[in-house]
Amino acid sequence: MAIPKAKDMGDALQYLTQFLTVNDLVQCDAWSATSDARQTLLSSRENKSWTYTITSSNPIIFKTILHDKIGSEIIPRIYTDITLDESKLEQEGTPFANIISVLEIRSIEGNVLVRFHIDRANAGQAGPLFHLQYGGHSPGSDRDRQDFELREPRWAHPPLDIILLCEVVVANFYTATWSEIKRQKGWIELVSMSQQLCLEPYFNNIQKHVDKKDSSLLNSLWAIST
Amino acid sequence: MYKGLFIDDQKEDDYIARYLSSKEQNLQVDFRMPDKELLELAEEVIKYKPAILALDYRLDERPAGKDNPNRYKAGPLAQQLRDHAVEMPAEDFPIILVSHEGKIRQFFDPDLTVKDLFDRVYSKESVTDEQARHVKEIVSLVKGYSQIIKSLEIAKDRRLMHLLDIAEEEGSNFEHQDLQIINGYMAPHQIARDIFKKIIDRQGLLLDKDNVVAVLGVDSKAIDLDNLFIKLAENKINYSGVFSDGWDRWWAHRISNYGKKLCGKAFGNLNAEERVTCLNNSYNLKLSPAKSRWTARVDSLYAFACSSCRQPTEIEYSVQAYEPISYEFMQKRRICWTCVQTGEYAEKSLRINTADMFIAKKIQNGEIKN
Repeated sequence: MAIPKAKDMGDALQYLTQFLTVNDLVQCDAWSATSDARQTLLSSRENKSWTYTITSSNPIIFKTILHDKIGSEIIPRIYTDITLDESKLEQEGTPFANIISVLEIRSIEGNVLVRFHIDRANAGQAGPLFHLQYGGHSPGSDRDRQDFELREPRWAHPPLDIILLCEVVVANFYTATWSEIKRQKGWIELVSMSQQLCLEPYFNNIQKHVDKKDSSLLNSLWAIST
Repeated sequence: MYKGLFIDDQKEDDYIARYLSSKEQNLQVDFRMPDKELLELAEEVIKYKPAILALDYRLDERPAGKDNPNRYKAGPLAQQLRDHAVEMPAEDFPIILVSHEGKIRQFFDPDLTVKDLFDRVYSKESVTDEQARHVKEIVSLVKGYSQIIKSLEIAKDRRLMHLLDIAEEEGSNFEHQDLQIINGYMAPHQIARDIFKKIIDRQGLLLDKDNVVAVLGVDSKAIDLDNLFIKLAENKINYSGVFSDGWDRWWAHRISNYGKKLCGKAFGNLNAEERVTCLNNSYNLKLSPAKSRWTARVDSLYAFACSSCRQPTEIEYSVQAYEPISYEFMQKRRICWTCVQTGEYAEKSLRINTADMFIAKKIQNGEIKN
């Protein structure tokens, strides 16, 4: 698989921010939300081991939308923390030393309605190495009211970076825009880059395990071998 | 000794020249009346070679002689001098507007065509009230222009980095086309204007003190705040480039890297209480976390200072302020929900972006309460 250079990922985040802004999907703070991540990546230049963060204090905030079924406005927001280590690809079959991508849906009053995150299991944590989890710890002032104590189940799920998570949000909540942009060459190129990074090694591993037939797929995806 | 000029048609306002001067700062500003035709006066100013020129906006209110030669305002005079500087960049100097508050509001503010000609706009009232700050800024302008003139000898692609005093490895932070354009400018006043407009006067690449305090999650009245800023200086977070001796600023990207090194996580991924705990433990300080104006909690995710009340503010409890021009590397101005609720923001000449009026109205009519 091709791991993008840091500067290429920085350019991709630049394009993502511009694309979301031009298509009127995000509040205009999107430039500020991705600013630190873009700068960190661009300064790492040719490196194929890189890291970037879009923080929970300054996430990508999508436009307010009226949700027909619940009858009120909702605001999707996403943030992430990703560390890529090129050497891990050979050792562990994944370049992600760390990844956590969070999707929160908030009410306009600021309350968290739902939170999902996709991350790599912590050391010693029982569950798939990459998993999707409902709830989880909120780093902000809503912690006391809105922390979700029940952490399980952790669903086996491929890692998603901020680009793929954006696509999930747009496809689910901004369907009219999604039907327009999903055919645009620029968007496809952007998403393809992240798919190669996040999905290709994940599904290659799955294919290997399925072919071997020596254990269940879930067991093979589990972070701690049992 | 830096020699400056203050030109005003009101003789009784000559005291302003004294307020613009400072023995300690080696700055002597002389008073002069606009008693000549525009071109003649411009020629005389050029020959005088002032380190700084201060102009009152209305130079035409009192005839300066029988022929009434001063039928011009500050704009055309400044324009004449700026034109000369484009041809002779080494002779460029800062031009500031110093006028009565009312005249600035009534005449200068609506005159959109002359705004870019002046490095700073000061009211006469503020010059007398805050002399030390103004002198500090004026001397910084003088030194800054001289620094910019020297930088014209440097290769164009390195000029901005040199002026901002940033390291080679930080260069990628400034690869925006809207910044790189500064490298191509011919005249110092064009370079100075963009450095102020895009970097020093706006939050984004640089942060002012209120925004640094917000990013660190600290109560602005906390004891040990000064000690914290000493630590920031030791870690070279401070801006040290052109005009830095007049305007205190801190690099946003350096604060971000500093947070990751110090606390193991970006400040933005810690709430205010956690940020302050990290700072206190690292430096043995007694800082306290800022309390959110909306939630009254200290475990808040502050991202910036409200443009209205200047207090640490969360993205989710703020609305966008209207701003006509913004670049991608600038932090957009936001107003906290409390200022929206109380109407404080209007007193600061801020307006809410129409995109957020939907939420603002709900706050103002009590549908959204804290």
